[in-house]
Amino acid sequence: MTVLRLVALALGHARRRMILSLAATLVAAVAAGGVVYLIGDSTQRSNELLTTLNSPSVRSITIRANTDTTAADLLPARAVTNIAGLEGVDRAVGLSRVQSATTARLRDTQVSVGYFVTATLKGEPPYRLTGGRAPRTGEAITSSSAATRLRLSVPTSAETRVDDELVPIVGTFDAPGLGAITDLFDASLLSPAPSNASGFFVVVLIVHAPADVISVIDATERLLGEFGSNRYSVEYDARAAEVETLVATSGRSGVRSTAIAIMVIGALVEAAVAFVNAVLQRREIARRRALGFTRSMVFGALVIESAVLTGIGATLGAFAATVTLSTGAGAIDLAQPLAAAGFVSLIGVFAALPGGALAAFQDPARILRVP
Amino acid sequence: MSALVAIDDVGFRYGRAPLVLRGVSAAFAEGQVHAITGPSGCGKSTLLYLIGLMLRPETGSIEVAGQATVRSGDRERALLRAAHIGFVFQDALLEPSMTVLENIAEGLPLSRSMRRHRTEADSMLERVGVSELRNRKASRLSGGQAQRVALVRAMLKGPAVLLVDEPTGNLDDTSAAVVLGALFEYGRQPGHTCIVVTHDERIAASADTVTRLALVSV
Repeated sequence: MTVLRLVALALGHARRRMILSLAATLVAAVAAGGVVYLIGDSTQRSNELLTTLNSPSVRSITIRANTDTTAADLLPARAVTNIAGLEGVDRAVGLSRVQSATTARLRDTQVSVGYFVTATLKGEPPYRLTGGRAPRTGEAITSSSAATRLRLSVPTSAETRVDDELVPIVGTFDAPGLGAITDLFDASLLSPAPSNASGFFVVVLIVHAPADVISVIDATERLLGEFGSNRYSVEYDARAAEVETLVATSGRSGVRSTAIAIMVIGALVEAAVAFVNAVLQRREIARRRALGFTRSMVFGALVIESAVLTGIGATLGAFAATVTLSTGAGAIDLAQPLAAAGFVSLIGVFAALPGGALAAFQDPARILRVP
Repeated sequence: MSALVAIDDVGFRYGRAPLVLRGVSAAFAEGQVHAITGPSGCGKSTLLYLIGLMLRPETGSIEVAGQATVRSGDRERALLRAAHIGFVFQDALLEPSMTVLENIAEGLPLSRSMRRHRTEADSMLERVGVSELRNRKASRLSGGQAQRVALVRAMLKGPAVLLVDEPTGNLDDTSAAVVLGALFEYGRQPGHTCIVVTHDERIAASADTVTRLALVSV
């Protein structure tokens, strides 16, 4: 009964001093909403960044021989095998020299489609079958794009001519996640490499994490040292080398200090509001003390009032921020706004302590103007 | 008749100011109405606040409802006030933005619900002639009406000691008669006592005892 009546008194007082109550609620709403929005927005941006950084295109390294005139120009098979075995390498694919497999004249337009021999050196094959079956040595599969361009009917009767030999086309494929050479694959035919491949024109590595890119490149350059550094080039996404900088500049540290600043300013304003509240109701409190309220009851009523107002404001602010964030990319973790609302309410309680103490320890007799 | 309030050799001063009260002793028996009178500045209201445990005497002792109070803590004094003492202030001291019933409810200890005292409150409002105003905001009451509501607020919890400061100071004769009638009726019940600070000699003449205070000579 006592607590219920204290709550009723607090709410009644909040209703009577509407402007102060609105100020306390608004401050809590802005604080909670601001913090939820800042953190949520930062989390979304960080998640987007992480998704980008973890994409195969950022995690891929393409090592390319600069010339392919003779077999000696190719990347040595032994070194490539060692590179594929490096720690941090998830997938490795070797490609032969690019050969013009087929040309066709279609309505006065010469169509040319690349042909590769590929070897899966580590992990998944470089293609994903979308029709037909996996090729064996001496057979080929075609990307959907190449099949369309060459008007091939796959896999029933299609074949291509490579070095004057007919190669049957037994399936179609797509090649997602191969970084720089994805586009090249998208318009090509390919065959599995024979086991006696002596070297590769291109090697594509997909590393486990963007942070592995630089260490794998360093190791690759050591392993290809005897081949000659001017005889090959390495391509990679520059963002991989800047992972730490990108994460640092994604705003997390800035958000943390801004959120703390909002909380501190919010707490100070809430404390000021509670203080003003206590001063404005000095006479009311003195009357209650004369009627038998203890100091703890006076203190409790003021703190409850602040807790209720900041709780309502924080919940509304967190809800509004969540709704705003939900229109952006990425899912919102509901624990975050709930935690922010709870935390801001708690701050509201602490902020009310000085005002509550002022109210509880004032001298009621003096305020009631004892002569 | 036993004394509900007993004060013995009480002295008091505000801060470092000269003494307002010196060596005041009195006993206020139950079932009686007691008047405290004296010239302005002699400490009548101060004595009332001392008995109401809102101030602590510099010297002497005060006993309320059989309990010594001088050494008791703030919480103990507040609870004693809530249980045994009712205050009627000179200017009624109602909360203007609250209704009559809300103001009356504020006089009850927090552990008691207005719902259980509603019939009693209605009957008391009826007794002092303001029952039709129960839902009116206090800001819209006249001085006489506000004083009657303040009286009901003080009496509803049934305090043993009813302390009243200048009850008729700003009232017309009709309101004054109603308020005094209710006060005297309440104070003369067994187990109750009513202590009235007043300048009005007619009230003092009607009271069962009169304590006359004099200015403390410096």
